[in-house]
Amino acid sequence: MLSVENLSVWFPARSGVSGIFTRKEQWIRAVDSVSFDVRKGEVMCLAGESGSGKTTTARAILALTRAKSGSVKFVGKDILSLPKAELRKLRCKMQIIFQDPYESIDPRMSVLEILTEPLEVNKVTRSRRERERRVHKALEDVRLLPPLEFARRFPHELSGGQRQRVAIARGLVLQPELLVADEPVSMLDASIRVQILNLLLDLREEYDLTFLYITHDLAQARYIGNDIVIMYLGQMMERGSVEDVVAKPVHPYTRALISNVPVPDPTLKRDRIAVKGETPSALDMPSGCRFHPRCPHATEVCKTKEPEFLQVNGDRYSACHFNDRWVA
Amino acid sequence: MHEGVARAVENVSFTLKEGEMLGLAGESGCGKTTTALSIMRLLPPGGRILNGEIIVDNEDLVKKTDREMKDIRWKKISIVFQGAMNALNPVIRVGEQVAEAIVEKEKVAKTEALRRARLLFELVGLDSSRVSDYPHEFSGGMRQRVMIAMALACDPRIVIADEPVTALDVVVQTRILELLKELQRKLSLSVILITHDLSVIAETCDRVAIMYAGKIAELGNVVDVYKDSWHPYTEALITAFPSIAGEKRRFRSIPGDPPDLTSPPSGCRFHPRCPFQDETCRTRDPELRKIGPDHYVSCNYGEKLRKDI
Amino acid sequence: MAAQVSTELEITEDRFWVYRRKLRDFWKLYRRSVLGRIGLVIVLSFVTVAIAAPWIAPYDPFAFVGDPFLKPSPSHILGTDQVGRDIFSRVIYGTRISLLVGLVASAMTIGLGTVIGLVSGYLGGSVDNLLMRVTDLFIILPALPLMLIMASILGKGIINIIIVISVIGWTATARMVRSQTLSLKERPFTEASRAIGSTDLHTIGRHIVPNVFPLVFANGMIAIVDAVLSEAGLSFLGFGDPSSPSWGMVLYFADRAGATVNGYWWYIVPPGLCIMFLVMGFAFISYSTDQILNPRLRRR
Repeated sequence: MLSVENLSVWFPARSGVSGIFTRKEQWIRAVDSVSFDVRKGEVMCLAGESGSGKTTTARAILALTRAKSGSVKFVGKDILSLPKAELRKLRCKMQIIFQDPYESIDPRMSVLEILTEPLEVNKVTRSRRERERRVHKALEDVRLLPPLEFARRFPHELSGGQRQRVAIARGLVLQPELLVADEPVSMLDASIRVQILNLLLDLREEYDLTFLYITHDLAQARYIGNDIVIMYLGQMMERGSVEDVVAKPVHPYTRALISNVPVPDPTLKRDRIAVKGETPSALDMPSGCRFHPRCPHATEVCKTKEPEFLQVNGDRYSACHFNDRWVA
Repeated sequence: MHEGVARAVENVSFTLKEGEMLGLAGESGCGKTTTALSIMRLLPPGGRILNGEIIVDNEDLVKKTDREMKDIRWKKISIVFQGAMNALNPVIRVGEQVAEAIVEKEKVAKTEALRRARLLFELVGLDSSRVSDYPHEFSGGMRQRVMIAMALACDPRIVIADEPVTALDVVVQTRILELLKELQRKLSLSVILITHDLSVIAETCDRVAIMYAGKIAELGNVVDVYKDSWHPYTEALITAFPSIAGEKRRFRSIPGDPPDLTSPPSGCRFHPRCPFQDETCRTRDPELRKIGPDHYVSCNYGEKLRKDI
Repeated sequence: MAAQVSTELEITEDRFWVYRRKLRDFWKLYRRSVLGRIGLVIVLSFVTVAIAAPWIAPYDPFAFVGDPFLKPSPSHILGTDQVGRDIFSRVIYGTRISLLVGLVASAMTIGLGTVIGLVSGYLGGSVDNLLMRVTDLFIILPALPLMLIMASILGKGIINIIIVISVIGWTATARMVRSQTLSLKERPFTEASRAIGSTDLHTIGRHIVPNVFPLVFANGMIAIVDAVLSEAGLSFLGFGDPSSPSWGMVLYFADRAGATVNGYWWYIVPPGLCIMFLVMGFAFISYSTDQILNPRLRRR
């Protein structure tokens, strides 16, 4: 359904005052050669911490950010090379849910207006009755009942969870095939999170939707995802099915990440893999393997040579010079 | 939107032993931060402590005057505010910002304060030469260490940490939590850790108080509360928490939304969302009662529900 | 079930309903502000006077109806000016001109400033650069001398005064609107609008403009104040239009007649007071509106 190949998103950076005068351009390689496939009806998770490039990748796939190179094939067309008019038509099929339920819906519009806007903009409906029907259905789908009551409300009259449901309803109203969700539950309370996650899973089943789910929380990824791509500083570190990657991680970064994720069980004793330092800025990209300054197993070759993203077994891939060492 | 009086914290009681880390858990609006601010007597304008006692070292803080509180703040109890690490003054060196607290509270000379700041940096795992750096030269985790150093500046007995690791990456999170535990041990520090993240509390705290809508739902030793939960809210929260361990299955979520504290539900505040609610729950607001050597719950039916679950 | 659905939703929603409801909510809040009500009363009074001028004014403001320099009396409440025209009538008719210039000039100022600010902020890049440098140019040039030069080039006439005031005044609005647009551009709901497939024009119109509106409205009230004062100033300095006697013009004639020197307070004080009260009225409205539209200003 969705095929991303060697997607790269680079931002130009001009360093300091000299940048204004010289034409020399430094690039921030926010996303570097990311590739993955998503099958219809599946949930692919893009996981990574701050600065990993996961959000930028998602934006580039939806052509909300300009990509530098690569291709994104969706329903047979390469999104990145489509002319503007055709791209706008394709947008109906791929929608996005943002992270912040307080900011992603216009505070000055009523819920009804928010939900009819996509329909009006894309001229997909011919009559007002049909628009109302779609809005009604969308509100029912996200369990904001009675729909009539919620349609007339404004965002400030809704709780965080309800706003996020409106955002999801907005994503559904155009009847898309692909839904990109950017940390949709990170700003919601714990007791609401599972509600929304379950809602997304229900919607996927009901409408055979395909999801691209972005998160920094591996627990969420495990709950909702089928496949996962672990990103660090713009590159893929590991890729595979969620269960596999979480249970038997290969890449040192993944292993460290998983060992450090806390678990709500005080009796579980864990071995924590210590990782020094913090994620460097994208302007100061380490040479060779991007993780080498922090990796507990770094060697000379890691400093100089960038590892390839190689198959480990089946659909598992990892980018470490010593992949074989870590395979269980 | 309406105005009114929000009973943000209602009848909250707990004790904090010396050298112990107590977790204050709950969702947004449950009153955990308000409780912490009340302890420090730093409520925002419009907030009032209606009744109750806050006893530290045999003194009741509620009865203290503003002047007396000034003496107690930072010297006996200090706090690392939520998001404080992003509120460092960007144009003043971090060492000076830490020293400022010392100068203010203990009336020592600036050079002496800076010297102590350097020692504090070592204590929190930062290179003491970095006292002359500016905030933007530090990463997130390191800035949080600076905030912890600041909180420890006057050698307090109790430190309150409000969401100390929420904004940090997971590997940095572990290191900061380990730092807190180490300080707890080394300095016999008592810590109140406020967070909405139950897994953080599970791994670091000795005891925990689960708050809901301004009241304590369950309180006790961390193992008891997590493994042998009595309150339906606690039980639901812990089982419906996506985790990377444990079996992979669909969780049943808690229906509804947290209540509006200007008009909280009648009776037990959790009853609208509780699968076991009945007439009593709708009318009677349960008190916190003891159910084990270090385990308290405020539910009308604790005992009966155990058998049903 | 399907039939039931359509009838239910049809009742409630359309865009006008939303606006009416917002207006109603706004009015409820506005009513509570004392200053706001006073301001509104003042402005509405002036507007009423302006509209009802032909019926209220005892004489034709241009007609010579008595001896010059008559003191206030029952037949001439404010006396007569140096050529025998009734001052009271002139002040009443002056309301029309001052109000007209104030409203039209400020509308043009706000309109021009907002469009430039929106375009500049949203499009960015070289367009933004160009527009901002032009704005800077207008800011650098000193307002009063520029106004006077333009007025003398364009000549007398009420339209010219309006043009002069607008051309000088749009810069503040432009910068403010641009600034707001820049920040609104980054907010997720704007990005969401693009994600659902809107054209830029749609996004600007549906999302940016309504969110910029409160700022523009509050600023608009101040622009009216500025315009009224600018017009009064220009007229007083002699650049006004004698055939359209605004309050400023009345003061100009008063000065020409030596009213200050000779102590004809009935000639000077009334127009001055009128200017002051009108400006005050708009300022109060602006203050109260700002309090409502900018929730952060509301007292706890």
